[in-house]
Amino acid sequence: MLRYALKRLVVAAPTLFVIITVSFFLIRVAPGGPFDLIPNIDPAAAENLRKAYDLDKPLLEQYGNYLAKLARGDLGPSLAYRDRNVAELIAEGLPVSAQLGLTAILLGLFGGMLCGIAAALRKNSAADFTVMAIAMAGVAIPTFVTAPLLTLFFGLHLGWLPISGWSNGQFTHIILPVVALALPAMAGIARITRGSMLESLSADHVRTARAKGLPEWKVVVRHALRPACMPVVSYLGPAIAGAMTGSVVIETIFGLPGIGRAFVEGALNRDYSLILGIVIVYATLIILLNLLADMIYGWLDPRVRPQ
Amino acid sequence: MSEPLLSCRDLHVRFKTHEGEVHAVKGVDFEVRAGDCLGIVGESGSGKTQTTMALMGLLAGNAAASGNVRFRGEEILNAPAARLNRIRGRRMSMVFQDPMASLTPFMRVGAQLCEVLRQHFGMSRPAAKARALEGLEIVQIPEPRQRYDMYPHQLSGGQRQRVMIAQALLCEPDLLIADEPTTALDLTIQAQILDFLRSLKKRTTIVIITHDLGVVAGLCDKVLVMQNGGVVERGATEAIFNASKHPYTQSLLAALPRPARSAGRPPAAPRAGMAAGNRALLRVDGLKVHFPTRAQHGLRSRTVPLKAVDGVSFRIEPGETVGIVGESGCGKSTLSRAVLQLIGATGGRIVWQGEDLSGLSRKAMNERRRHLGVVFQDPLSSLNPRMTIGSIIAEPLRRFYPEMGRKERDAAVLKALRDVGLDREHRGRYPHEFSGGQCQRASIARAMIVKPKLLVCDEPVSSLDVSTRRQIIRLLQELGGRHEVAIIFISHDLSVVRVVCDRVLVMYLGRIVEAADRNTLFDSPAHPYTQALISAIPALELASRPPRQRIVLRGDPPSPTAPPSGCVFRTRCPVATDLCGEQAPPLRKLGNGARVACHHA
Repeated sequence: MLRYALKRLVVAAPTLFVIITVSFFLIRVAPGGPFDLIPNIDPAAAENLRKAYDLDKPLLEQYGNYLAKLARGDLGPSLAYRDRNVAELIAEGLPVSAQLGLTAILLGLFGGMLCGIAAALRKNSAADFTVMAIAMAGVAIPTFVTAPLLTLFFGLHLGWLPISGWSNGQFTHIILPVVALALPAMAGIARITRGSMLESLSADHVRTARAKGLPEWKVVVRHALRPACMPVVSYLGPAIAGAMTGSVVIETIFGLPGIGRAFVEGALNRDYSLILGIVIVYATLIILLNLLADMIYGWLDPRVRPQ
Repeated sequence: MSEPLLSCRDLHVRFKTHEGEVHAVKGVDFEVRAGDCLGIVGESGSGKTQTTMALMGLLAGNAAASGNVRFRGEEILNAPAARLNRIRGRRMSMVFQDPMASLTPFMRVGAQLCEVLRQHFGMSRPAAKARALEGLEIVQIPEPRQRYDMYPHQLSGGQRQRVMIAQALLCEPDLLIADEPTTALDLTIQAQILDFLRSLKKRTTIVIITHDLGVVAGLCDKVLVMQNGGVVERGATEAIFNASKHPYTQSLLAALPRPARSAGRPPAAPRAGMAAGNRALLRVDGLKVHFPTRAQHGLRSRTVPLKAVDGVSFRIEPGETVGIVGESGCGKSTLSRAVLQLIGATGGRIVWQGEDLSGLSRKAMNERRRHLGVVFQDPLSSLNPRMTIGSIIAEPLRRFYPEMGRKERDAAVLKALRDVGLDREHRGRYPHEFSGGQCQRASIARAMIVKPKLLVCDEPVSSLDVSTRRQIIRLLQELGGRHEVAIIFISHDLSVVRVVCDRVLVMYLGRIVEAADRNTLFDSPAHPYTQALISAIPALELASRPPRQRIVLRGDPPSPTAPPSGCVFRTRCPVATDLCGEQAPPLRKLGNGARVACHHA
């Protein structure tokens, strides 16, 4: 298992390299530059700025320099925030985004699975139909619609929760963004769990477990639940990626100081080094979390374990 | 007389489906007394499985059961789960058909066994483990301690079924219900399990559900024959077999192989050209098909060849039917696919009408396919579900006779449908609207419509019911005779091969161990493996009669990635000597014309 993980990590390095390369050139293709938005800038001053950040050199040379610095762990200076470097900005934003994303994924996972299992065990009941209708809506309605609606209702209409800001991760400030971010994952996982649980409950080995005289809860927990988790674990990779892209939207809507918002601002400012830095963080996280999902998969099913 | 162990009165099972109510079990009555061994026999859809599911309270959610079922004097039909759970697995336990699917795949064998003991007897972990190991010993699993910690997929099919049986016997139940316990298993493994069940009769009361009267004959004292949800005949096994009154039972009995008689048509008479042996229709020379598989050796993995077919030679003359028999994994299907060039050969030659097929381009090979027909095992999955039966059958015509007009083609399809016993209305329907037998008829029509010279049939009747099986076999024989088509008939079922084939090749672990004409093979099998296979046919033979010499092979076939040295069969062979480990026996000709690969034949 450990060897398998190491192997996967070795394969991940070229993947990361390709992502960096493609992103590097892609943002340069976008029109505009990092200093275009400074009001009334003197063309000579802009030229000096470009020189100062080596942006006047040929693109390939810049690419080579970037890789050389990156190899030493240097993500470079931010082009938009003077006197700050990218590593500092990420170190500031990542804890906020990680707390938001992790809580949302856990909520989506457990909430979704509980709803799905409950719906499967009470197949075709009113509870089943209600849960599935809400899940369908959760899958269909995008985050940028649910988030303002939640803010309107719980923040403004009822006045229960603050509508924006982080306040060092105070519980009340986290609730709305986490719920808004978790909803699509929760809805997707609930639907998948229900389907796989229904299939699992009619499997031959579950029939055997019943024939052994086990009470129903033992049949469900020991014999039916585990295979029902497998499709959920497969879905976890895309769900995590979804939560990351979702966090970009959510952080902007709720004004949270995370790397998602930094990413959006970096893109608008053409802050090349900041964008690349955050892309590297996102890509690494997605690769690691997908590996984790695959390892959980192998732990759940001995048949797919590498021999 | 005391009360029976189990009595079932006027049992009905109804399913609610989208197409309305299905009445699967229609008023079944029977009783089982302590010490009985009852066989419930019927084809698929006869309601035999649903009857026992109702007894155990295991019916699907859309099913409703009514009637009376008394077990040890207690009414148990539709009893609440809590009450049933004191009986299920404890007093009345069950063995299912497919042991791979019926064991929980991600739980170790030991944990699945202990679970029963802890549930019903509240045993401590160590006590349960000791008892479970004892249980594994009782079912004669080799190295029970190692198997205890394994997952089901790491065991062989026979071992899995032994684990199922061990699990059912752990609490020493009063009644053991076995639903098709040997159907998913190979012939020699089936013989082992039946042998074991026979030895169990002294310990417990048994109900066996099966489609195979041969299984009942050697095992049960009483028989219940079911058809369309009702009991059509019942009685002592002896009486049913000797003087059956119901036509359905009689037809099932007629489908059974009888050990004394050589059944079937006489072997094909040698034709001109065949005796001269100058030009066979198909000649296979030293064919090898090896698949690369990865194996772990310490830190490094390396490629180990899986020798699915390892040096096989034979020839087929025009119009003859040759059977290839062997257990699963012996390479018979791989061989047929290599002959058809559906998978590449690793070595050797396949000569079709004097031409080496392996050198041909894909395009040239596809031209040759007009004369190479094929019929697969699972009729439903080998027909395209999105095409109508008519267009499926017409497809080879479109490919090989593109100049043919629409009218002409339609006429040919109608004739092909008629030839295989389907109606003209059937051509507009889709495969899922047909029964297994009808799908197999359509497959045969598709293969035969371009009049091939060789038809490869890979287990064509294995997934069909007994009575359908007979019809399809008759159809193949009739078409084979009428169109002078040679047939390669692959099967694990010797009783079918015996009826259909002129000559038989017996394969074991990728090699031919015996090749002989049909009568020679069945009357005087020379290779010990052939002898074991033939004695393992569950034949029409009664438990009360003195048993014929039954050869039950021990253990499982070895892995084709690591075949034994010398003779590949020696690890399971009853007559193996030191010589067999040193030298691989070549195929040599015996006085009666059979060719055999054995030092001691």
